[in-house]
Amino acid sequence: MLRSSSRLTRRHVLAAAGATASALAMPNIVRAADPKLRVGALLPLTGDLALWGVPGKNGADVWAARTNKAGGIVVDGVRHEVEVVAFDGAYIAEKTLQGARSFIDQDVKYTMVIGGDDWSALQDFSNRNKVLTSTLYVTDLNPDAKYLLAPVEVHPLYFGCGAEYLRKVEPKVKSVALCAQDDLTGRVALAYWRAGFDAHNFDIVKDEYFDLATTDFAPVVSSLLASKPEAVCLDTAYPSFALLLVEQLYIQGFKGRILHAGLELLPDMVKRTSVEFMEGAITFFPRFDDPAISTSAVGFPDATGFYQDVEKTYPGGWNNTSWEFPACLEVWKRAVEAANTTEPDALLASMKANPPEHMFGPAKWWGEDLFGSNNALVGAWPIVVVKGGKVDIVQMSNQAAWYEAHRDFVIKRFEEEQLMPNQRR
Amino acid sequence: MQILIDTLLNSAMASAATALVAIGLALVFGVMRVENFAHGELYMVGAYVTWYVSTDLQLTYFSALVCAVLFTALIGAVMEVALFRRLRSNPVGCLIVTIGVLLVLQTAAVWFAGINRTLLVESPFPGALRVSSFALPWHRLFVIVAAIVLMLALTWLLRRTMFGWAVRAMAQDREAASLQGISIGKISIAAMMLSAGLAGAAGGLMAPIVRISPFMGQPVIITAFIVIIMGGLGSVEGAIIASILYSTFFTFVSTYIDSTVAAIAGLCIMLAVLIFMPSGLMGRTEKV
Repeated sequence: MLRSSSRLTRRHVLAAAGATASALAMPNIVRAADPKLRVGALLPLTGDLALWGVPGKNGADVWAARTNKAGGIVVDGVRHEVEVVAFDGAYIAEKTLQGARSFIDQDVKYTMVIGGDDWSALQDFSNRNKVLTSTLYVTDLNPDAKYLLAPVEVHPLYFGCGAEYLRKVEPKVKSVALCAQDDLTGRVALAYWRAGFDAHNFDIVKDEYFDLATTDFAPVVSSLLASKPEAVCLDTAYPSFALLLVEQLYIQGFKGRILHAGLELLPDMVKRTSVEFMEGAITFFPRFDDPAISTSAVGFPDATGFYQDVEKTYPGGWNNTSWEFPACLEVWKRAVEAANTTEPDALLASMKANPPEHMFGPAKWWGEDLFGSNNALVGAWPIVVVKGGKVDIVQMSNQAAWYEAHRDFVIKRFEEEQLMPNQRR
Repeated sequence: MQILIDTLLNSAMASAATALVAIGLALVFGVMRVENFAHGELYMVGAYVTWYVSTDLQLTYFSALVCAVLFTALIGAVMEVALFRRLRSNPVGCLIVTIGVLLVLQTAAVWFAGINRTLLVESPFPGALRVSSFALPWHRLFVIVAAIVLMLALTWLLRRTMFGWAVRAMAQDREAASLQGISIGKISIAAMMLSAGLAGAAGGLMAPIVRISPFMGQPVIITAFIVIIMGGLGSVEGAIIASILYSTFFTFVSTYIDSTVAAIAGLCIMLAVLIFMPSGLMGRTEKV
């Protein structure tokens, strides 16, 4: 008896193989039964860039809760809840890749990164595993980045419209001085600003880069003001740079318009200068308690309510990434519902054929000219002006139309900086 | 005219801040023969302490400044007792240790406050003195005055006190000083504390007008080394004169041409001094 019970028969082997295969297949079965669609926030949640990552993840959570409350995402007639899966990539290549691998295991359908160094770490992995990803840095786009989208912010495309707006409100201003930190973000942006000022007949009287190690901005500002500019453009100077530059402009007696991408530290700028000094400064990121936001952000359902929910859930934690990542998710949701699939190739093909609505209205795919890839979704973008120490939306601008009208100026300035796809190293 | 006045004022302030950092570096090299590569990070720590005490602890700027000086002086004492003293006969070891301290302090600052945070220190002297159409920022004037006061106090300390006499004796000949009964250990600790405290003071003074970051010490230490090489290694007076010359040159070239050109030109001047005046402006020549 003993001998016969310990014998391994073919039946036993088949049963064991069946049981093992069933066990291995179990997670997939479980997933198949799981109606949730997972999206991934592969963001720095600790470390120095957590100031972008954490508000972005929080905003995505609030967006998911609101989307689920409104009925979720409908794919092929079936309603799915959406769930945000977060991984702290810490803006470190190894951790970012680790997060991307864990997202594959969790069947994440769409991944969001800040862009820049984290995308550099991901590009090959994304191509091999068809990881549909969104970035906030349009400069990440390149001919080899097949599954990367820039679905919301197309920095620096809105700067051309900024120069146009300056010409409209200051018809007599002739001279402008520019400065930026000497890195890829600064160079791409400054090239676009230059094209904008060329196109609208401004004289660029001073134009300089400052080193990223600069700590005292007095000489930089003295140098800018020596050329007697009527407007000063601070490009996309990082927030702490911009603050010190603005303070120096004030101390050194500048009187004129200031232009900057985000004016992120506007309250501190006002504190260190004055409400009057900052009045009229031109920037591009609206506040979401602006009464005009609902009529401007037409592709973002109930922008005011979203802002209030974020502030209620995460008091004081709002910044621009709080809405930029949810706006990336909103574009993806529309695309999925239009294509009735989350499969990356089919979804991309559908998105390309029928561009989803952008946060600020109808949009089109763009980018081939400057980045070698048409994966940037370009819609309208607001021009925002400082009034009484706060920013107000003053008009919506058509970034793509501006580019089409002034393409030659942009190409010329990009070629000067060796930024065209065929010039990049 | 405004730009000339601004540039002169910026030059004076840069000279004052550079001199505070450079004389500390020169002092330690003169007394202990240690090239302290972590000196720029002591400047950075001074700025961080000033920020922390004045914002998180909400004490006054001047209390924060005193804390910055005391804290960096304490770090200096620890560096001397725990590291330099044990490696006194090993100058290369000392140099490597200072690079280690540099990395530790940078990492500590990153851990403590992150890299991209905007750390703001409010100046007790906001705004600017308006004379006719010229604007002279109050805090920059304060930095110049404070640095001059500190340098005069240091000169008095080195020239008029027993401590200064002992420091100068050690700088001239350590063994002879020891035979005269001067305690090498005590003077080394005091010199290191003084040097680190001056760097901390410079960091605290500059905190309201510069960008505070874990790496803010790097350009400062490069400038300080250029300055003490130009001034003559180990010469406090040379460090002051070279600080004024270098900072004025750098600020004018940065303003009127470009900061990158200024950095390259500054290094060229240092090379020219090394070629044509190898012992620097005020350094001692050594006969072979």
